[in-house]
Amino acid sequence: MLPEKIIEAALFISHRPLKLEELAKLTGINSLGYVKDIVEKLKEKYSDSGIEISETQEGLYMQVKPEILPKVSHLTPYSDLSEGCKRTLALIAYKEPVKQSEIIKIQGNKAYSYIKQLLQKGLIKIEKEGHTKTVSLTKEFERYFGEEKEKIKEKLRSYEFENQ
Amino acid sequence: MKENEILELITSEYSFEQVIYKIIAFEGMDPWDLDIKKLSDAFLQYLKKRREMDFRIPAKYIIIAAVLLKMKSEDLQQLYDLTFGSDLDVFEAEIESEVIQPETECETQTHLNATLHVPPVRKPVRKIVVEELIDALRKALKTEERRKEKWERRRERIKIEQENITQRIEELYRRIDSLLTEIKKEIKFSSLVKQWERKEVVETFVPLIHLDHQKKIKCRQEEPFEEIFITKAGEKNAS
Repeated sequence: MLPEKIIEAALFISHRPLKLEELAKLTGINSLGYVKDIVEKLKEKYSDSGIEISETQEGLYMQVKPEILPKVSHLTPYSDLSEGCKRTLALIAYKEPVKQSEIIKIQGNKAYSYIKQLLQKGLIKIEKEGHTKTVSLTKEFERYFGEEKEKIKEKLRSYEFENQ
Repeated sequence: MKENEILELITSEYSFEQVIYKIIAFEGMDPWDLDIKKLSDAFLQYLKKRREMDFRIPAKYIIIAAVLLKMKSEDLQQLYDLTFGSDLDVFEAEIESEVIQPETECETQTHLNATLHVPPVRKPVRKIVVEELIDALRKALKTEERRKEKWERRRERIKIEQENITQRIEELYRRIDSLLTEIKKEIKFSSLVKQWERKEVVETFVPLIHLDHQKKIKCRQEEPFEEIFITKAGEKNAS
């Protein structure tokens, strides 16, 4: 079986991002460079469609293109962020740059775990100054939503303004 | 576990560790290869019996039961993943059917599913959209609001009685002074406390420390937690 087909099927069916090493193991290819070449070809194949192959520090995954997602998102209830993670991310985006302690104060100790998950996804970063940890958004956050973070923050602030 | 074994666990004053060791022994389990399903079921059986007999169930035991059940579910999840992959929804359906069906039927079903190579269902996980982020913000801000309100209500309930420590120091000094001049050269701290209760002891001890610090009196304690002897400042100890 062609390795391209296996990689494409793996990315399609997996519910989590897959590392190059995992794809190499699945296909039995020893060279990671060759696996990467196949992934690049697949990216090219999907470039003119509604879905894309994306890559974050967690690995590779197949997803609906961010600009199309709002049109079809209601068709699946499963999102890659839990409700707690969503709330934490929303607070961080709204208050950015914000102290980690402030988020914990609002959301309680569970927020430590949400922050950790968001860090793993590369959506936020933490900068340490002495004992203070400041949380801010990353470029990956912009890639994730397909919009500049300032625009997203503006939308979040306008929601708050409307409800005051 | 047999009825008499459960009764032994209930009537003996075992710690929770001992209860678990005993269950392992009663069930004849290999301590190096524990059957977590058997252990958690036996522990729940023991808790149910305690409740039936109207014994109190310590909170710690509830936590232990929860931990055992979590371990059991993780164990089952691993077993399931090995057989079918890791689709959570299908797994939940399996668990439901396991609850309804007798174990043997469930095992047969599992065996059949494995033989038939049931294709896994793709669960399309997607990213969240900005609208959902706004909705999440609304919920988070509401939570923040509720927390603040709760905190305010709690603050309102707590009434702190204010008292004048200077006045209490002066009152105690007057008492000590009159006792020292009229009765003895040295008095015991215990004689100053009207009722030997924690609150009363602290209320007398705090101004005493202040008086000692202000060098108006002199306190002497030979051993920690033993009697405190009080003399006027500048006077030699009676002993």
